[in-house]
Amino acid sequence: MKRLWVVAAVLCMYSAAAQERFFTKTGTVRFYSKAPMEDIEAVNNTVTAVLDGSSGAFQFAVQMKGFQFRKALMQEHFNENYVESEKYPRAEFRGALTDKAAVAYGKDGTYNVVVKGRLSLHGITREVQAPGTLQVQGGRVTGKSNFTILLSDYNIAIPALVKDKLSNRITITIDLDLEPLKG
Amino acid sequence: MKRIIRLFLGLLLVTGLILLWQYNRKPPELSAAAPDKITTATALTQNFDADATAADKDLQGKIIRITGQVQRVDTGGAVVLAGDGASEVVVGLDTRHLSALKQITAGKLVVLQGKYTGYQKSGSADDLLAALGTTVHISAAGLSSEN
Repeated sequence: MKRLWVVAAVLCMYSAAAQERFFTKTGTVRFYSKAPMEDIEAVNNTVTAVLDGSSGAFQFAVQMKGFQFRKALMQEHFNENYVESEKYPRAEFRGALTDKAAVAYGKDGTYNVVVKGRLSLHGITREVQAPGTLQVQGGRVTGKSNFTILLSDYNIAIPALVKDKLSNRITITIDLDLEPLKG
Repeated sequence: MKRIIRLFLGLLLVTGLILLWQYNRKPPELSAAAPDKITTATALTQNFDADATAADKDLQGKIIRITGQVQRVDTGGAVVLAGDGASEVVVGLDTRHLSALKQITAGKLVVLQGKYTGYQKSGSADDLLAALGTTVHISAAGLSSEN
């Protein structure tokens, strides 16, 4: 009987740990460039992400060819000239919450968090730190974050001809509706 | 001389109009285009599970018409189709076709058409995304007229 209790306790612990991983394959990433002559916005709604609540580890990946622009020419230049999506098809972030204890995944609420890690884009990997919120509601987690990157940090050059149309400073907005990862 | 000036101005106007059209051109409506490949979500993911590199190479730049059972729908504009086993196909809708989401519900068999944009497959042990199995990505999609 005692052994049965131990097995049950271990199973419960395993189950709780397993439920603390959340994922999405349909997250949204937007990027926004504000330049004197033009504002450029693109959206990708097939972002894959996993958040491990027990360790605080967080990872997401974006297929670069999945960004949609309002104008075809912008989309072509983005893929062919700037991010070279044929050569570098994915952008990936691997990091963790700086304070994993800041979020109670079993209790509904909105928690302010900071994510720190390494963002790989265009073949370059750099340290990134971004503030965000995690909203826990009914077992699901909604993650939002907004941060800026410099294209020059990722070896993406802006030709002099389009300097007034494309900013070196890009605002990245992330929206993730994460559900519990079973198994 | 007047004729040459008129011809020059005419050419200048035509060139300007072409450049303006080129600059403001919208991305093509892929759901209405002729597909390069017609397949099912199950067959597509089976190909990636068998040899992802070859399947990826085969689909580069292609417009795919895909039939599959809807697993999940995200109001942000993406649909997840059930693949083989744990594998899935994620179809991001063209932002001009988000109203199509009203017609797509979990469990329904749908035909979607868009551009192949890449895949995600189990990686190293420290790869958190490895737990998600194989995922094939299609973007800028819409409901095919076959529905």
